[in-house]
Amino acid sequence: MLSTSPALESLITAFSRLPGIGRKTAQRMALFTLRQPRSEVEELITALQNVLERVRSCSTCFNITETDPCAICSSSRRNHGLVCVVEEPNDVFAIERTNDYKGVYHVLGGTLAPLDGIGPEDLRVRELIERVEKGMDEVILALNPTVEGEATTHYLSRLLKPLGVRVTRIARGIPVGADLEFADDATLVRALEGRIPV
Amino acid sequence: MYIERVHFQSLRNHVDTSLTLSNGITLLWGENGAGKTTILEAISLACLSRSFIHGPDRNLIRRGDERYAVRAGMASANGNRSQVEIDFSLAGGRKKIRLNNNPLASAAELIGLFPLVTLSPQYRGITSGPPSERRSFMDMVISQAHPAYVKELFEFRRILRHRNALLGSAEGLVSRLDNGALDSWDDTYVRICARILERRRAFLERFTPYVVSAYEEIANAGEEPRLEYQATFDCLEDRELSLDAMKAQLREHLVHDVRRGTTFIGPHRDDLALLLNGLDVRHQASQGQVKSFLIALKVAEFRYLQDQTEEIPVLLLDDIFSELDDMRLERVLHLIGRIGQTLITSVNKSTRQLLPTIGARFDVFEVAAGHVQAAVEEVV
Repeated sequence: MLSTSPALESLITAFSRLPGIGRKTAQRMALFTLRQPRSEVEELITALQNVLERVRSCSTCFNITETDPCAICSSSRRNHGLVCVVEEPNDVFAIERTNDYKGVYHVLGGTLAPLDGIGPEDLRVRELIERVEKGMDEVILALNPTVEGEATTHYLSRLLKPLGVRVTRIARGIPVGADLEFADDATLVRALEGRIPV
Repeated sequence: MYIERVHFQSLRNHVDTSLTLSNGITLLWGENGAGKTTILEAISLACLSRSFIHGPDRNLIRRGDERYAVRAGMASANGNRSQVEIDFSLAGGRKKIRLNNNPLASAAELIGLFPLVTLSPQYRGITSGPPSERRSFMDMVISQAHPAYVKELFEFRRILRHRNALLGSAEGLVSRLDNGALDSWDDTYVRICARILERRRAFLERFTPYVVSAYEEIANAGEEPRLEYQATFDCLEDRELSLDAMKAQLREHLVHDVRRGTTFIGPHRDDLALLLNGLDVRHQASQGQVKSFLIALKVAEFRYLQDQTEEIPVLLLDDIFSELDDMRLERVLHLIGRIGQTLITSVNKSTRQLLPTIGARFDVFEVAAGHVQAAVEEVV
């Protein structure tokens, strides 16, 4: 059922476009917003506006940033000869959380997916090649272990290897601290295949 | 493994049916269209998340309803009890599977837990239909015995669809293809093909002796059954599949593939030839030989799954009395040996006289217009 206020209705529609939000949850969120004190709603408006105005992508690595180049790309404590290729900015957050990686990143912006009409020209592939041509020691391909991630990994490694750079990919296997018993079959099969001498 | 209870709603002509089953033989007796087979379909849904009758899930929903639901309680050989729930609604569009109240991400996590073998007139296609029937027979046995295969098949289909989409985007002209992108999909494609082909090859090697001995017990001696995998990739001679050779073949077919916008070589185009004394049973065998071959495949499936999963599979025999003569039927039931839970549908009351010859305890349910009634329990 549509609500009785067009303004509220358009807020509900806007909320329901968010990932994981259905119409019912969007309705609850909109009504909640309506009941908030004015100052809180204004805070939300400002936050949205700031995101819109200040946040852009780094012209070097295409990660989310407010300064260009981003803090990682301009850091002198980073190893600029080591680049980790990921699909989305989320993946940068995930790797940064470890505090263990000291190289830089390259956000591809997705993976090859002909079914969705996504080819190399829709990703930051050319930009990656240019960066590598300027001199890199190693490219780590850290794409998701999906069918699309696999194909993209093959694609990139074929483009990069002739440039004389070391190309690696992250390992696949059993999560640390998990029980073997609960690992799914496909992961176990790959983990057995990727076994290493101790 | 056996199914202790099955409860289902809005499935075909059943409104709400609940059955408690024994770990022995159950005979479902009733007229044509009474809903006997639907009970077997409910069990198939609970064990494998799909029916043995092909068709979209919406066809399973009772006319006028918008959803169906199946609940089943299973007991394993080791005493473990599990509960499976399958729900499908027209609005949801996707089947929801729950195991012991935990949602499963896909059917891949269910298949293999509760081994099931079905013999139904639907399967006549295995011996006389198109290659797809034999591929799906093979794939289902492998899936139940080696569950990782289910995910590999999903992966294969997805990669194939990507590759076909890429071929389609070239609009019939090879020159319009981005070679680098195609190359990387070809790499991914031959890798998954090699994995599937290796699985099928290894399976056939283990499975064939089961078929040979089952056929020998069913039919006359002196006839030698053989399963011959006919691959569209022309490099199965070597045990080690050469990915480069496969890629080269894919390239040879490229012009053809691009023109049709689809991939013509791969496991989805392969066939499994069923040979008797070296001749294809589809063209050169008698009716009796064809039936014996199908039964041998099913008996082999039963024993193979039993050995691989260390559970006795549930056996569904759909309308086999009309399919088999008494002699073959008796042999089938005899062959399966230490028979576990078996559900048999029949329109023919006289078959009840046959069952005592098996010498087991059995229950009889009478099915009429989507309702089930327990008939007198017979003990022999």
